[in-house]
Amino acid sequence: MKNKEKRYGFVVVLDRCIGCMACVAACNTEWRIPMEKEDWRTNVLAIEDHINGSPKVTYLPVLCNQCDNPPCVEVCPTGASYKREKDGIVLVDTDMCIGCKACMIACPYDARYYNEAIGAVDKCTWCLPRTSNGLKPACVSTCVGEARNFGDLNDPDSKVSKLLRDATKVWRLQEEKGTKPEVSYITINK
Amino acid sequence: MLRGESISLGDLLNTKVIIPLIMVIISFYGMIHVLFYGQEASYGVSRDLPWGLLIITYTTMVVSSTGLCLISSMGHVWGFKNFEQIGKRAVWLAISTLMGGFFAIFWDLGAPFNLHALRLLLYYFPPKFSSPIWGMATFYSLYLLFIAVEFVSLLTKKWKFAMIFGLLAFLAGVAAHSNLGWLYGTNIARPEWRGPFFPIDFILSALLSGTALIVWLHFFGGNMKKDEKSMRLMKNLGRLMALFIGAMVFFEIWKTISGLSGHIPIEYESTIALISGPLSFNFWFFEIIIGYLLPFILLFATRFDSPKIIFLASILVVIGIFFNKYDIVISGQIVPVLAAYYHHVSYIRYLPSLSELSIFVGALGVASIIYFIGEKLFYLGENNE
Repeated sequence: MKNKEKRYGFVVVLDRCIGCMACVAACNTEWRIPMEKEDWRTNVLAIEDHINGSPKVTYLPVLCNQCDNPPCVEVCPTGASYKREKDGIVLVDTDMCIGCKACMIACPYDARYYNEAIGAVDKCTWCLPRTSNGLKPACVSTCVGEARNFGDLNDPDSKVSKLLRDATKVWRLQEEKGTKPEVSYITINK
Repeated sequence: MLRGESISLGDLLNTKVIIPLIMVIISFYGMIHVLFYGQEASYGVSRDLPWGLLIITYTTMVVSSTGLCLISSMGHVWGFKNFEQIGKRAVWLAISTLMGGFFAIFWDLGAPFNLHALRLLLYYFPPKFSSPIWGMATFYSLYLLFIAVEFVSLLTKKWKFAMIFGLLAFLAGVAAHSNLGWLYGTNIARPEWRGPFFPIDFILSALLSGTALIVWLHFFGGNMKKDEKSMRLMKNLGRLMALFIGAMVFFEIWKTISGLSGHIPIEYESTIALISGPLSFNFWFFEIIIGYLLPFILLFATRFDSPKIIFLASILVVIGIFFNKYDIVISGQIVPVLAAYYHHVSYIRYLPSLSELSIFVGALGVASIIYFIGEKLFYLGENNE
């Protein structure tokens, strides 16, 4: 999206995530997520693999990618799902949602859920109420290893811009689907 | 237009209506459950698999409605005289099944007791051309309007209007139904659905289920023993059904081969779920054997000569179409989208809940009640009296 005042970006340093799930707990507290639905807005996937015969677990933090070409917005029949021009955050106007769940079906990142308490689909907003007041998203604030990072990609001096510059490898999830995700995954170790 | 005799409430509540009425009463179980416990606690769907039996019911019923409209138009729109005898019945059943479909989707949409579905009307403008559901709402509304005018025109013997609005309903039906196919076919998150052939597949299954339901109507409404024209129509319907079964099987074969080839993540596992996984009994027994092979064999074995066998085949086809939609909707969601990151895939379990089943029964009841009341109120036979 062009002409954004800010281009919020999220950078996950994969080799710093230890899978402590503090981010999930912080998110639950911030957004009062019901019990047994801890992974509603964000999660950390434990991906098991075998490298040279040895088992290895990689922790993959996942959250809404605030895509620049969001399929969830495209399919919404009422315009309840929309992308803010000024910063690129994808939001849901809960008063307009009919609960058809087409956006949940369309999201390749499983970032949306139907919240019966508000009668609408809901999602991670990168903690918009916090970031609007100059705070970091709850998951970023609490991350012990600084694996989760948030900032303005239009600002070359922001932490996220520097991380992207210094990374040894940068990729985005399911980029081949044309969603233009704004969450970047990086490694910093050589 | 209306039947000449005066009709009392007692006449309307005949045995044909009582059974569907009981079916609607059964659906109160699901509705009350939703009222007290909410949709999440009432339905078997989940965040990972948000579309379940109610969406399947909606899809199957609008498939049938579109098919009924398309096949019935062969008489008064496309000039196949032999099909004129079933025009009114089929158009009325198309309206009835559409209403049954709307009933099912209403209970699937969020907060039904707060009427959140009406927000679609409130926020209809500006147009959302990229949204298949917006397109579907638009075209199904137009379809309902056109088909209603078509029905009134047929009743009042205004043939020119019937032809014009029959054609408009035909076009709106094709547009609406291919839109439903588009809803699945353009989904980038579910590779099992993704592809251009879904709109075509949906129209084809509409033709098959429409033909099968017209066989039902003609079996009970026609007079095959005494009327040669009636028998000829039954045979033609049997032949059409066999043709459409063949086309569906053709699609099914290529869809399966395409799903397996290349081992595309998620798409491959979804196809495996159908052919040898959790959906395999549905797929092989209900869809392939009951829905396609058995009716096809029965039709050819009797050379389309036996109305009873054609009727039996049509029942099997309708069951098959329902499971075809069940398999499509569930197989597209059975593999979690996040499985793309894992090396091993686990399937999501889905079993319709009692609430969903009761609303499914209710949707069939709604369609049947509307049809049987119409049968009592209107003269649905051929206009040659």
